[in-house]
Amino acid sequence: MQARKISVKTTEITKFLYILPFMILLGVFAYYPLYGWVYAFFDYTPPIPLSQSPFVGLKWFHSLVENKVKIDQTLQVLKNTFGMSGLSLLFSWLPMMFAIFLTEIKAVRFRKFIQTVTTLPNFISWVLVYSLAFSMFSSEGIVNGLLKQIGLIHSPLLLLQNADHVWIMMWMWLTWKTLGWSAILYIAAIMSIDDSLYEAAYVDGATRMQVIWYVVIPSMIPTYFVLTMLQVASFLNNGLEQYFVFQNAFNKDSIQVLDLYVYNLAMGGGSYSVSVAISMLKSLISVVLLFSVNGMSKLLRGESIV
Amino acid sequence: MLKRSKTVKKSMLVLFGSLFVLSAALTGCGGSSDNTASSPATGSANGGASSQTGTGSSKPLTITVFDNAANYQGEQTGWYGKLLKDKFNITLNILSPSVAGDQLYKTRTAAGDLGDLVIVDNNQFSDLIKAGMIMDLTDKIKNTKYLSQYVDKHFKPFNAAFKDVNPDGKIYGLPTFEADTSPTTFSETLPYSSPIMPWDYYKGVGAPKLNNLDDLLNVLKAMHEKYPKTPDGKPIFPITLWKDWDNGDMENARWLSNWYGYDQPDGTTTIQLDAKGNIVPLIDDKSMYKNMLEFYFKANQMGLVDPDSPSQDWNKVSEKLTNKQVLLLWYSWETGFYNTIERGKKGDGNVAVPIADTHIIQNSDAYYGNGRVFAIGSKAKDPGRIMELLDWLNSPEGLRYYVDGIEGFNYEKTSDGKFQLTETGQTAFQNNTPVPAQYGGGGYQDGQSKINSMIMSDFVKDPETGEFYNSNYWSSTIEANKTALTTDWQKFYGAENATDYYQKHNMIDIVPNINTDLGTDSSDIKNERSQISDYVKNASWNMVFAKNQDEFNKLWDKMKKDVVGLGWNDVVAADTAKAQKIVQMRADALANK
Repeated sequence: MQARKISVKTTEITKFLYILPFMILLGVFAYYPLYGWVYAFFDYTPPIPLSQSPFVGLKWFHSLVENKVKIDQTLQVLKNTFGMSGLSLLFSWLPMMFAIFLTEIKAVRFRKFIQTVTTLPNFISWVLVYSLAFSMFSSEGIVNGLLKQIGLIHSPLLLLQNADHVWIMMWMWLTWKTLGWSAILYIAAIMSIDDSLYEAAYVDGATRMQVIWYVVIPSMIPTYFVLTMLQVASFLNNGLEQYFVFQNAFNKDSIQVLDLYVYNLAMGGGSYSVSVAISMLKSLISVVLLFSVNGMSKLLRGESIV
Repeated sequence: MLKRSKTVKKSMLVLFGSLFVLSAALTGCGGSSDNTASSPATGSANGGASSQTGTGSSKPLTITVFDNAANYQGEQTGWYGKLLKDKFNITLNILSPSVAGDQLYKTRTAAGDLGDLVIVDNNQFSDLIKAGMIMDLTDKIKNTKYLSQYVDKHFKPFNAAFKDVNPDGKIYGLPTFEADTSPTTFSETLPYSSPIMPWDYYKGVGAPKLNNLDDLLNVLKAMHEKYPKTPDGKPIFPITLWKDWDNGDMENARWLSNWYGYDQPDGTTTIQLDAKGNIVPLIDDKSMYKNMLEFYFKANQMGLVDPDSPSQDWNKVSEKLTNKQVLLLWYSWETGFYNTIERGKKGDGNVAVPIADTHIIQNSDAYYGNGRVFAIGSKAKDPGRIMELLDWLNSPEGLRYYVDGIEGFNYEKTSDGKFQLTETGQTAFQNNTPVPAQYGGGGYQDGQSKINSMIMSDFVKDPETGEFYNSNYWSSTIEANKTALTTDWQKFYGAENATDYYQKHNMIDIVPNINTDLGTDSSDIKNERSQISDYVKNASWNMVFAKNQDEFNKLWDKMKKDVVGLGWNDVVAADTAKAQKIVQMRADALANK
């Protein structure tokens, strides 16, 4: 009896030792940085160290909603964030459909060519994408040059300086850049569909469209849901590089998303404490979003990821 | 199944293959500029002119220079790099926030060590002293040969102004670009900001007299109609703007306000100040800032503004200036991108074109420095040798190398013991002329000092010649510059140079240059200032490019209302206090004249 108890304990300890390295990593890289949140409660400006900075409590949180102008500004930023994230969420089925149609292409070389061409942009940094955009769409760029040559326009179209349709434009750039890359997971999922399912469908006389509809899409739904759920969780993290490079005086109002706002405040204006306060709120909202979507998924499909 | 995974593998191969090609192509593009920069360094190993008096240069030393003035980041190479290596066995590793971004300052100060040698703005300086990151130089400077001469007149008054953090009047920093003339003289021939245009084009449309800004717009339009393209087919833009220098407001509008007597002191963002000491908030309906936005707006309505203005940066503009693609210039040094003596002989070049109703405000020579400061970091490894270097930078030899380049290459001695530019020297900067291998090779401009700042300026007289270090003011250069361009201009306007013209016609106010600690903003003011600045900049650009007068007015009214919500009144109060200090100090300087 005694010996058994000890052996149970030692196995428990070895099991714990197995995961210990990961817990340490998690602690160092995920939980320790949370210590930085204390900056939100101090009046901190470098080079004066935190220890000499005065404690100000919730002042910076309050300053976000101090008066109407500031509330409007915060709301505008939230609107941009939700607008652009919402747009990509709305079209989150696009990579899946792309993957399906891509695998349907029977000419192997052509398929590979398409896949390579669509995946490559993912590896180009946003700065380069912007310089590409600039050389194409600036007033002396290729597009304006061409349109002028054929006499369609007289004064150049200033697409990059235009605040109209900025969300759609940003969504289009994002899709151009990531479509091929996001399709990779779906292609892998399609590859793992059991061949006997196809065979059975063909034996039953299904057409190509019917195979897609009754075999391929249902097999992809779990992957799609997991990816969508992750996307919702990072709803507020729509990144800043893209918007950072594309921002200018004319589109700033409609392009400034939360991450960019935090960056502009901290790095542009030096308001570290305010931007920490905002990113704290951001993390809280993300957690709430994740759990609510998770709950919905549990309710609707009986499956969840957390 | 197997077959499928094979195709995936294959396509991945294709993918990585093309990625490799792409990245090779991309690095290939960037590589070429690196090569030219690094070639002089390799040449320095078996260097030629290393016979100079090297002191304490037994051990190689690398100095980290945190430099707000630098436009270049990395190791100092080229002929200047070789010079420092041979003379002092010192290598400069330059960190530039204007290349790497402002966060460089924040992250390095948060870590507690900014650099060995630091060149920062006045308003950062007092925080750095407070945080204990700056070394006290009081005793060290006493033992120097050249710097010690300037302590009482220049360094002491500057350091004493930092009362809050420096109650004992120690010397922590040495301000930049100090002239050794007087606190009230203005030595330059062209005011810092004034209307400047290509002389041949202006004469090409009949050189009409300009009475006001409307005349200016009309003449720009006439010039543009007559000269829409450069001889080699590049488009000409009457006015081109850029946004990357914008700080508290639209920089291009800020400096045009100087034409009508309003100046925005450094460190403030919400007010303008005139020579009499009147302080006007930017959002006042009668402010000069608004007038200048309206000027650009009208210009844009007339199709005179470069449509790329909102998206281009300064580099693109300087390219356009080099190609003479711009008709209206305003900074005095913008002329240097195109003007040369050779072109001047043909009457070709950018010159001042006075407008009758302007009344320029101009700061005098920077006797007390111009807004930045040299200092040594408290954690510097070998402060003695850094001090030695700083002293040399202010010796006649150091100043000549920094300002004029290499004797025998850029300039030479004349029979009367003065200096004159060599033929190569006249265009070495513009053409980036290759420097002979014995000096380290590489392009002349590429190899110039990348510190891009100095303690005593080129408006200090060289004891050997009795003339300023600035080669534009050498008697030999003035003689050589008597080209068709200058003599023609002088005859037309009946004046020696632009400053002379403005003074004769009572069109300029020269105010004493003030360089002092205006105090640091509290973080409330800092936050408000940054949000307001952001707003004002965006609104200004939108106003310039507004579709019509109605939209212009609407944007202006909205801005006036919104900035108040962002804390306008607090920031104006802080800026007014700063401006009042300047007004007071200007009065004192004039009283001591």
